[in-house]
Amino acid sequence: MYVEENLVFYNQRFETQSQLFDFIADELEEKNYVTEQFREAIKIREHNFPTGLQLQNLNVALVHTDVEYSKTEKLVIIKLEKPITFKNIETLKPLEVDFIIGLILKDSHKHLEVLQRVSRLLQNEDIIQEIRQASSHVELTILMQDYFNKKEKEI
Amino acid sequence: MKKRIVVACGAGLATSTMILQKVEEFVKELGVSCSITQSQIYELDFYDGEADLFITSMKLDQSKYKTPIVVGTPFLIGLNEDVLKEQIKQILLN
Repeated sequence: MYVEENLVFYNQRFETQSQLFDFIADELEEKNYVTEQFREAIKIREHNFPTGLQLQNLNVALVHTDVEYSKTEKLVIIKLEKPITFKNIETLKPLEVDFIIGLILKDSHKHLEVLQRVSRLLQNEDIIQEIRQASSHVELTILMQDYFNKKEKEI
Repeated sequence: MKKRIVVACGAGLATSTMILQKVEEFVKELGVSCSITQSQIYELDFYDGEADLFITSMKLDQSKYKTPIVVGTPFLIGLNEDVLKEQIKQILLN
């Protein structure tokens, strides 16, 4: 299960990118999914190599760091109450991001599978629309679990 | 001659993997025989001049590299893929 109900957050509010990363690190540390170094590592990675993506109708950040800081394979999904400024992965210009996908990657074989699904999600206008419209934690969780947790052939 | 492509992102881990999956599909479609390597952006110096094409997640200064560079983000987000494919095609078929 890549997507756990308690790692999906709806209408979460942060003032800064750093607050967001601390929140993600707190949640993941509590569940023992990442090492202590994860918190700093993910901030540094985003600083050096921004992950903001400008889709047609949604701006998404694909935050992640090296496998050595992860203990498992999970996705952290956060729909923000108000946008946070990231940088565009390509142009490095500021980008107001509405939706966060945190990639907690460990096993390189499973990587491929989950990354392929993330990649398809970014290009699937229907799902992006559903993400935009999701108006509760339950709705967002069901949407993401349906998409990420079902078997390959069902996508 | 086999063409050599290097797909690079910050970590050589996530975004380059997603771009690479699309590049593999496309060169197959083109019918060009390629070897595709995944790397981190700061390792590109090592391949510079040796590889036929760099596909990166981030815009780089072409004047610093001999190998032609295209930005692979369209493959990530599904926008302007056709423009990118045309660029790749031009570079690989020349």
